[in-house]
Parts: sequence; structure tokens; C-alpha cells
Amino acid sequence: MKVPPLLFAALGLLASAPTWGDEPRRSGRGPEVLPPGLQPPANDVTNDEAFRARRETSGTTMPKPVPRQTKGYGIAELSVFISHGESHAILPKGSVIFCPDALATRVTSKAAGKPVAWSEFMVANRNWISTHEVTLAQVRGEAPLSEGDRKAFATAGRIVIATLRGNPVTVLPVPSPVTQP
Amino acid sequence: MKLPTLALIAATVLPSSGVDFIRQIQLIEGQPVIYDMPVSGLNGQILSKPLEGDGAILQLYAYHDETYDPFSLLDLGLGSAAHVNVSLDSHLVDVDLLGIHLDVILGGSGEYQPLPQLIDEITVGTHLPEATLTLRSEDTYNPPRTRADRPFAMGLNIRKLAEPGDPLGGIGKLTLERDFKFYHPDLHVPYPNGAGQGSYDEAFEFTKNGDFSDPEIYQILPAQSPTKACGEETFTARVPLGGNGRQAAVATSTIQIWPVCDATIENIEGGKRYTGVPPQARVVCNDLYPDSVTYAQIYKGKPAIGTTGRIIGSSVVSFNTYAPQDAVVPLTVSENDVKEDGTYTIEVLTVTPFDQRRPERVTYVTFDIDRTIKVNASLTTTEEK
Repeated sequence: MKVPPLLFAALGLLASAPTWGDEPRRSGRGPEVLPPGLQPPANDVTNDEAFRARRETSGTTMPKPVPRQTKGYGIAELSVFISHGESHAILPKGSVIFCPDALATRVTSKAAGKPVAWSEFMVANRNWISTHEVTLAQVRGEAPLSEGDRKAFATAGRIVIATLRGNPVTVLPVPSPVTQP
Repeated sequence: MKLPTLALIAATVLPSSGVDFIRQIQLIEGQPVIYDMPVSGLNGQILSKPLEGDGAILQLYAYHDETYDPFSLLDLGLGSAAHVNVSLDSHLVDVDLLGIHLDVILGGSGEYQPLPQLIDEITVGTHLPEATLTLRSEDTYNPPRTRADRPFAMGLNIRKLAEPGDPLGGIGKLTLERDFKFYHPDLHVPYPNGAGQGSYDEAFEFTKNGDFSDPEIYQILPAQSPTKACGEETFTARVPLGGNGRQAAVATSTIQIWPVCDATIENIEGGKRYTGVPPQARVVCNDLYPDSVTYAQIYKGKPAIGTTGRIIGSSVVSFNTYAPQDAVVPLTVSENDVKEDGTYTIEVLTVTPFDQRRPERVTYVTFDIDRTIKVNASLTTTEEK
């Protein structure tokens, strides 16, 4: 029964030791932690009124706070979620290259339940998910998936996720041929 | 070119539960191709070479751990502007802070965070503008930090912005934006679900390469009491990338804003008469700066700023850490320190990296020491005959 307190004490020492070692000035209490050469105080700490005045004098404008804009590459719009039961995994948008109608409800645009790493999720749901390693040309939308592959996906009846060196990846659609007038 | 950057990201990733990942967004003729790389422990498996295109955005995502105590958030002290309604059933705290509606969902609700949080983002590309952004204050600590009432400086260096008439086109405009995050007043970290965050409706556009600087910037966190603001401000340089009005960050820097401390002297009342400094006298200090020494001094006379008094040894408390601290210190003053009767002042002073480490007065109290024994009595004699 004496082990846990000792363990905690040891952990505490480990956690605090590097801080003390690296610090130029000690944390602590009592006159010995006073810095040398103390001067008398020059002023009171700033109060709100004084700070507002100083900030105004410096020419600081006070822009209005607004909700953070999502002008960047946001997680929601560039992701697709695959879920089953109580858990889900996040995947790149455009990485689901085949989805049988019967399983369509498992691919959603909203996350629900517990987030699980994609690799774990796939292992747990191997009976209805598979992956297909794609080429860079396919990723770029320069080459279509072969007819043979498409047929194999349909026969297997599983959701197929595109991967590049094992990690899920977007596959851009092949542009439809433009007919010249 | 890309590999060193990638290696840096991988090396700075904190140990995680294995759900964290790096998302690489590669623009191929304006269309985003997304590649998710798992990050486990200290290493991420990164393959950057295979994808080539107009530029790549690398984002590090993580799910926050739900380790917040459900009851630790109940006494939210975001200043008097925060109207906090707590509903224990829904685990939802509504904070209405200066008109910004914040929903703080308490941990322990059993609900999972729906989306991972963006921890860091970097954009790389041969034909993209490059920028570096630095923030610094009088406190040389890293990560950059300052006290709510002190200014900080910004440096922005911009390279490779295209000239307006460049026949090759290219990106000729960079936007500097400023965002903020309030911190939880006790935990000193951003709110777990992304509450208390926002941006400002002001941005600066740069169309020329060069080195720019602003030596005096004050924090503008929308706190009711600005000197008690606790949070961070982030400056981000973005460039338009990939159409649809989308922007990607090319440089970013964050500065932490810690509140100005306050203190209360307890068990000595101003203007009162004592035979000595009461033994239960003490100072209650809040929000002491992470790098600070705080102490009390006593001197004879009325309060006068600039006076050097006798330092009360029991009151000295020093910190050298990463977040503000609270402390309660006793005021042990012996008879010898107050030999003469008369008016005395006790001042609480704090030394921080600001103002060349000159002490600042936090609070004070003035009282009288009077040991004269006055006996008010009347003498009566009765004579018995």
C-alpha cells in the first residue's frame, strides 16, 4: 500500500526537476528568492482606465469581434465520414471510389459517435470495407479506374476506399471529353 | 524542398491517442486532392513526393482529450460581462460575452467532439509567396507572451509576391488577419470545444515584398475588463489559393496574453488602530505573472509611491513558469519592525519582465500602531463616619 504515494512522489520530482534545472530564477517563497538590487516601485499596476487611455493614445483601433471565417481549407467541407454502430472514421472527400447501394447510409457528410483512427476502423469492419491502391495518374484524374477493377468492386459488394501507399486519398474525377464544335 | 518542413511537423507532434493525423491538401489544377497521414506517438508517416501540383497545404489535426472535470467549469470568471448559465443536465454552459454567443460544452458528457481541431497549418509551393511572422514582447519567453496592459511588436517579411504586371501571373496579394481565443481562467488553455474564439473585422493587405514591422501593438481581446484579459491573439498571413475565394496560411504567429495581477490585504483595515500588525494578516494574490516576484514592504508614514521600506520576508513569492499563478502569503511583522508608534503603510509590490523589472505597486493599506495604554477611570472616595 505504500507504493502508490512513493510512486507519485517520484513522478512529482521527475516532473518538477527539469523545470528547476533549466530556470535562471527560482520559483519559491521567502526572502532568499528576492532578486538582487531591488528598486523602489515606480508606479501602480495598470488599471482598466489607464490601459484604455494608453491603448487609445497609441492609435489602436478597436475592430469588432466577428465569428472566425472559414475561408481556408476547412475540415468539414473536405471530408467524408464512414460510420457503423457507435464509431466513425474521417476520410478525404472523394476517396470513396465505390459504394454499393445497400451500404450507402454508412457514408455520410456528418460525423456521429466516437472518432476512431481510419486504420482501426477498417480492421474492425473488414467484412464490408476494402481499400484499393490507386496510381498518381488516377489521383490526378488523368486516368480512369480500369473496367476490370470496377467489375471486381461490384462483385465483392463492399465499400472501396482509394489509398496511396496505404493512406486514404482523393481520386479526382476524370473530366468528360469535351466535344469540339 | 518540402521534406524538411514535413520532418519538422512530424517532430513537433505531441504524443496522441492515435486518432490524430496530418492532412495534406494538394491543389491539382485548382482542385483539392486530400491525403490523410496518421500520426502516432512522435512520428507521422509522411510521403510528400508523390503529389505534385500548384501548392500543398499541410494541416495537423487532433481530437482534444475529454479530461476536463465536469464541475471545474462551473465558476467561470470571464469578468462581469460574462453571463453564465449552467445546466447540469445538458452539460452546456451558455456564455454571453459582449454579444458573442459562446457555447461551452462541459467534458464528461459522454458526447464526442464531432470534428478534430486544426492544430497547425503550413502552405508550401514553388510558386507561392513566402512570409515569416514574428511576435515579441519585453518578456523573452518562448512561446511569445505578454501581460494584458503591455504592448508587443510584430515583424512581417514577405517574399515572392508577384508584381502587378507579371506576365506569368502569380499571387500578388497577401492578407494579414488577427484572430483571438479566450482561455479558461483556471485551466489557462483554450476552451475544449472551440468556444470563446473569433476574429476581428479588420485585415491588412500587402501587395509588395519587403520587411514590415509594427513596434507597438496592444491586445484587443473583447474582454469587459481589458487588463484582466486572458487568452491569445494570432496573426496569420494568408494568400488566395485554389479559387472559390479560398485562402491558405503562409505564416502565422501567436502571442499569449496574461492578465494583470491583483491582490487584497486581509485582516488589516485601513485607518484602524492596532497595537501591532495582527498575526493573521495576509495577502491574497491573483493572476501573478508567470515570471514574477511578489512581496510586501512596510514603512512608517502615509502611502508614497517610490518609498523603500522593510521587506516582509514571509510575503515573498516567486514564480518562473508558463501560466499565471495565485498565492496567499502571510504578513509576519515583528515588534522590532514597528518600534515606534504612528502611521504605517504596507504595500504589495510585483516585479515582472516589464518596465525593466522595476517593481510595481499592486495594492496597499495604511493603519496606525498605538501601544499607549490609556486608562479611563474615575476615583471616588467615600467617607464613613
